[in-house]
Amino acid sequence: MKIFLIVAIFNLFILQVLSSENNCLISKQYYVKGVEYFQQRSFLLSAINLSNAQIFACQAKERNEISYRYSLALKELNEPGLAIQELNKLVKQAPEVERKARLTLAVWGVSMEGLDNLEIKKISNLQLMQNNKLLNPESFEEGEREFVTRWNNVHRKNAWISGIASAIVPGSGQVYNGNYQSAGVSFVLNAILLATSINFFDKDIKAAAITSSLFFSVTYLGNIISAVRSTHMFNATQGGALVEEYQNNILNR
Amino acid sequence: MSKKIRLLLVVTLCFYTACVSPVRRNSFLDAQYRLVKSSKVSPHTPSQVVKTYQTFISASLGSDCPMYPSCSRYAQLVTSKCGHLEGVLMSSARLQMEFDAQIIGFPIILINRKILYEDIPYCCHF
Repeated sequence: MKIFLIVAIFNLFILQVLSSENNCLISKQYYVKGVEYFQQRSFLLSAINLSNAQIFACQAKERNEISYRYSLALKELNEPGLAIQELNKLVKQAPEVERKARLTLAVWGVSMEGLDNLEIKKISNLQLMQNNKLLNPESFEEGEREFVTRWNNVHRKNAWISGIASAIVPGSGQVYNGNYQSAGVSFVLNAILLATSINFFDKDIKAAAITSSLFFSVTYLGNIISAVRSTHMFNATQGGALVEEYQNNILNR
Repeated sequence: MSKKIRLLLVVTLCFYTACVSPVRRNSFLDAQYRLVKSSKVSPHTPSQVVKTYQTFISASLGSDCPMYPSCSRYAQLVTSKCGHLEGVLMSSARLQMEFDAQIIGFPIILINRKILYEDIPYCCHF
C-alpha cells in the first residue's frame, strides 16, 4: 500500500513538472508568433498570441515582458485605455520592465512621472517632432546633430498655404500638395456648382439657386478641409520614419 | 518639338513620383477591428439619405470606392459620430481626397487581391 502511495505521488510530481515545462514551451511558441505578427503589422493576431503566451508563462519576468508587448499591440489596435491600464500595472508590479513602461507612457503623452531630466528632454523633442516642428540643434548632443539636420531638412508643406490657396481657387491647395487628380476634381466640381448657382440667381429661380449654392458651399468647404488634411498627412508620412527611429532610440528597442 | 514634350513628360513624372509618400501596409483584420471599435460610439442618429443611397443605388450599381470603409459607410459613420454638419463636410472632403489616396499617404490594406486605402474616422476633428 505504501509503495503504491509513493509511486502515485512520484507520478503526480513528474506529471506536474512535465506539464509546467510544456506550458513554458507553449508560452514561448505563442510569444514568438506574437512578435512575428507584430513585426508584420498584424496587431490583432499579435495581441491574441501574446495574451495566450501571458496565460502559459512560467516565470514572472517572462510574463512582464509579454505584457509589455501586449500593451504595444493594444495601442496599435486603437485601444489606448486598455494599453495604458496594462502599462500602469507593469509600472507598479514589474521592476524589470518598469523603466520601459514609464518611458512608453511618456512617449504616448500620458505621464512623465519618474523620469530623469535627460529623458524628459528627449520626450519633449519627440513631441515637437510629432507636431511636425523644427528642432533646435543646440538641445541635442554632438552625436545627434546629424539626426537633427536630417529632421529639419525633411520636405514638409505648410497647411495654412494649402488652405488659403484652396479658399482662393478651389483645387490650388491640392496642386501645392502634389495631388493633381484631386485638384482637378475639386476645381471642376466647384466651378460647375458655382456657375449653376449664379445662373439660377440670374434667372431668378430662387429655390434652385439656394439648393445649388448649398451644394456649392459644402463642396467648397470640403475642398479646403481636404487640402489641409492632405497637407497634414503628407507631412506626417514624410517624417514618419524619423519619428519612429527617434522613438525606438528612446525606448531602446 | 516631340523631344521637348517628352522631356516635359519625364520632368512631370519625376515630380509626381517624388511626391508619392512611403506606403504603409496594414492588416485587413486590424482595420475591421478598428472600424467596429470606432463605430461603437454613435450619439447621433445616422443619416437616412445615406442609408437610402446604400440600399437602392449602391446595391444596384455596385461600389468601386478605393477607400476602406467605403465613402457612404464613412459618411454614415461620421454623421452618427459627430453630427450632420461635420458629417457632410468631412464626407465632402473625403470624396475630394480619394483620387490621390496613395500620394496623400493613407495606409493600404489588401482585400481579395484588391488594394484599398484605410481611412477610419476616430475623432471629429477636421
